[in-house]
Order: sequence, then C-alpha cells, then structure tokens
Amino acid sequence: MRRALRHPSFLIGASLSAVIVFIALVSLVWTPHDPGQMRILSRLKPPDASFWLGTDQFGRDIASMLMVGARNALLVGLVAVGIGFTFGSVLGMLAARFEGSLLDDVVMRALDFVFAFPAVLTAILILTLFGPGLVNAVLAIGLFNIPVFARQARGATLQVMTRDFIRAARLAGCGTASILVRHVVPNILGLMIVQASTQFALAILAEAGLSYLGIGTQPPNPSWGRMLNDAQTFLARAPLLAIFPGMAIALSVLAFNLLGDGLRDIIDPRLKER
Amino acid sequence: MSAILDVVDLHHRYPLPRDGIFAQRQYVQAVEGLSFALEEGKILGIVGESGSGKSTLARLLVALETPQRGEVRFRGERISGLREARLRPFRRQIQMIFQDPFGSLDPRMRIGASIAEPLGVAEPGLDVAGRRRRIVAMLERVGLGEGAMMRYPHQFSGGQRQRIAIARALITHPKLLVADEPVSALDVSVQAQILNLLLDLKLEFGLSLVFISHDLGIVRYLSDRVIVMQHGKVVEEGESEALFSRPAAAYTKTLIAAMPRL
Repeated sequence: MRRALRHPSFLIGASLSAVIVFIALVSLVWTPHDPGQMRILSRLKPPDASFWLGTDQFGRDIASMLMVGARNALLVGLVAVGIGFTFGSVLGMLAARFEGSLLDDVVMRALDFVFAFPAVLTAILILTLFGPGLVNAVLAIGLFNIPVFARQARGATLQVMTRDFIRAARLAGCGTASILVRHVVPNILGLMIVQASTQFALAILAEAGLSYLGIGTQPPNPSWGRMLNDAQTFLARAPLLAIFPGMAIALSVLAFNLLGDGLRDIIDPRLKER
Repeated sequence: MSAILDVVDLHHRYPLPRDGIFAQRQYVQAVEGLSFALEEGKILGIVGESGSGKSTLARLLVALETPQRGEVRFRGERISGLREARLRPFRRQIQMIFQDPFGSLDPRMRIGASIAEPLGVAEPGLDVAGRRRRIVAMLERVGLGEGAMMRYPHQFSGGQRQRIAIARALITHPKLLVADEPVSALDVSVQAQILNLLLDLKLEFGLSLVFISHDLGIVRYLSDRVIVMQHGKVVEEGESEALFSRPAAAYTKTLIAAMPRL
C-alpha cells in the first residue's frame, strides 16, 4: 500500500481515472446545459462564462456533451472489459487446468483465430453485418478482449498450478473447482486486474474509433469519437471543437494505461513473496 | 508386523516437449522398477542425489501422480491410478510435507483457513467452533499459538512455515506421512527442531514415515530402513545401521565417503 502511494504512474493514473469517473457520475445528475439542446443563435461559440468549452455547429454545449460522453466511454469500457475478463478468465483457467487436452487445444486455437484478425477492422465488419449501435460495438470490442484475458489467465494459471500449495490442496482432497476458485483465482487476480486496466484504455479508444466512423454510438447520444468527426468539418473555423474531445480521449486512455502500468509494478509477481 | 505401504514394480516417466506435432514423443525415465514395503510404525529413509527420482517417488506414493506401470498399495488396497473421487477416503490417511515451506502454503490464504482446508474435506460435519478448537490445538502442538491463525504465510520464518505445513498435514490424523526433503530448505539450527518435532509427532499420532533426503546424516539418524536410489532405481536396501556401517553397493560407498565428518 505504501509502495502504491509513492508510485508516480500509479498516482497520476489513479487520480486521472478518478476524475474521469467522477465527471461521468456527475453527468448523471447535473450538466451545465442540456447536452442535446440546439441553439441556432449560439452556433460555434468560443468558450465563455455560460458555455465553458464553447458550442458546436448546432449550438450544443461542448462541456455537457463531453461529460455525457465520458459516461458512454466508461460504460463501453466496463461492459466490454467485463465480457472479456469473465469469459477470458474462465476459458483460460480451464484450458490451463486441462493443459494439453483437447479442450485446451480447441479453446486456445479458437481464440488464436479471433486474435489473428485486426480487432477494429473486424469490429467494423461485425457492425456492418449486424447494424451500427452502441450495444453491438460493445459486444464486438468485448469479443476481442476474450483472447487477451484468456491467454493471460492460462499463462498465470499454469504458473500457479506448478506450485506445491496446489499439490497440497489436492492432498487435502479438494476437487478441481475448489482448487481453481480458492487457490488459483486469488493468486492470478492481481495480474488480471492489471490487464483489465490496460484493456479498459484500449476499449475506450476502440469505441471512440468506431463512433468516429459513425458505426458506434448513434446520435443523439453524445460520444467523444463522433464529436471528433463532427468537428472535422469546422476545423478551420473552430479548431477547439476537435481539441476538446481529442483531449478527453487521450487523457482517459493515458489515465487507464498509467493506472495499469502502476498496478503492474505494484503487483509484480517477483515482489509478491514479501 | 503388516505393511502399511507396498510398492510393486513402480515405473514412471515424464514426457518431454515435442519438437513438432508429428515428432515422436521423448520421455525422461524418473522411476524405474521400484519395489519395497514400509512396516506399520516404522521410518523408511530414501536417499539419493538430486535427479535420482526421489521427488517423483514421493508424488507417486501419495497418489499425486499416476505411475505408468506398477502399483502403490496402502494397507493392501491399491491407491495408484484411482480416480480422484475414489481416492478421497485415502487422502486424509496419507499426507505429505514438501521441501519448500514457501511454496507449499498458499500466499493468499490465512494460516487458519489453510489448516482448515483438509479438515473441511475430511470431516464436513464438524462445526465452526469444533474446527477452530482442532486447529488451535494442532497449532499449539507444533509450537505456534492461536495468533497464527489470522496471519499470512509471508509473516513467518521458514522453520515456522514448515511447522504450519506439518500442522496442516497432520490435522486429519493421517497414518502415513511422506516427507520430501522437509528440512533441506531450512537453516541448520532449525533443522534439528523440525526433525525432533516430526519424531515426537510420529510417536504421538502412530505415524509411519517415508523420509526422503539427500542428507545421509539425517537419514541415518531417523530411519529404521534405508533405500539408496540412483537414476530412478534402487541401488541398495537394508536396515539403517547395517547399510551405513557395511555398505555393499559401490554407489552407497561413494555417497557415504562424500559425507562430511563432524
């Protein structure tokens, strides 16, 4: 714990992430303006006292849209990483427990197959086939998270399974399920959380990318990626329009990456014994 | 005297990683044609240098691994090659102590929970208070207090952890204990304490003991009978005193000659 408080990337990552989460939570109950309200007379306004970050081409408040966009980005990250984490961890642990069996081969080769496709490109394909929208985008991103978590879980589980305390648990009469739940999960959880934090950043980026292309979050739901796309047309007249959502994306990706890096150092398995 | 443990023509080998999916599998022969018996209440010492197959033998004896050929019998009943469910009644009677007390306790589990684990499987009917009483009594018997229950393995020294491992192994009152190099990872000053604790507990619990070690001095001090292993085979077997004073095999003589004299 003390090491965590002294670790710069953990500190910066955790505080930034906390700010983003806080903003997203606040947007549930309060935003400076209604993010969907258009004001023909106040189009493309620069930042002022009323519209902190200015308005877009429809006169909508940028600050409010960014706040609600944060909610979207976090929700996507949470659900997509949740899908990958849950299915990936279970599959990886089972593959490791039955290492070398048909189950192991089938599961890991199937996941290699998913892994072999460029994620965003295939997400575009999926969204074109099943229709654009936030739900499908989340499912597509989640699908590509499964192999990442499965590989990590399999490797970590294999390592834990060689330890004597697993043998001791078998001697105690514990079955496979109880060994996995009571001994393997607690010992690989730290690594998995580190991975989750990094994947979270990637999921936010992927959602922004898909929305930028117009196949992620659909209007009128504000999304950072789509705001970026909208801003493109007015880049010469109102460059700030692109800068704010761009910064939001960059900062949140940076935040969760730093958090992941920091956690990785803190939960380093080489230091675990101490 | 009847035998608590019978080992008949035991063979075990490990597969090496294959070069490719069509390549022939290669194997390492770890145990080759071992046969011996352990009398009830006795201590059988097994010596041999590293790589002689001692640890593999230990895992075969407690049915953590299934031999390719041969049998391990506990009180006349075959335990090798049984499915986990059919093995369960034997589990509580056959326990093992591992060499590395840092690896044999789950770092994320409190000592109390660690010791409770085999008890929970062996005696599921025991209530929380009863279980706690048994654990505290066992911890005190191995020289640790009730306070140890809520702590984690990393808060203990190597010797203390081995005491905890012993408590965990003996909590279900097993009849056979296989100790795989139980003191070789410990400081010399602690080794004697742990060995004496093991000897005391052996008498108290009526244990039969298989004691595996590369340290001939310790094996000679503890064992009734001794088996000398090399490359997975028995080189020599005999009563402890006779074997050490009049070794027959050349390998045994080499081992004894290499012993440091104090």
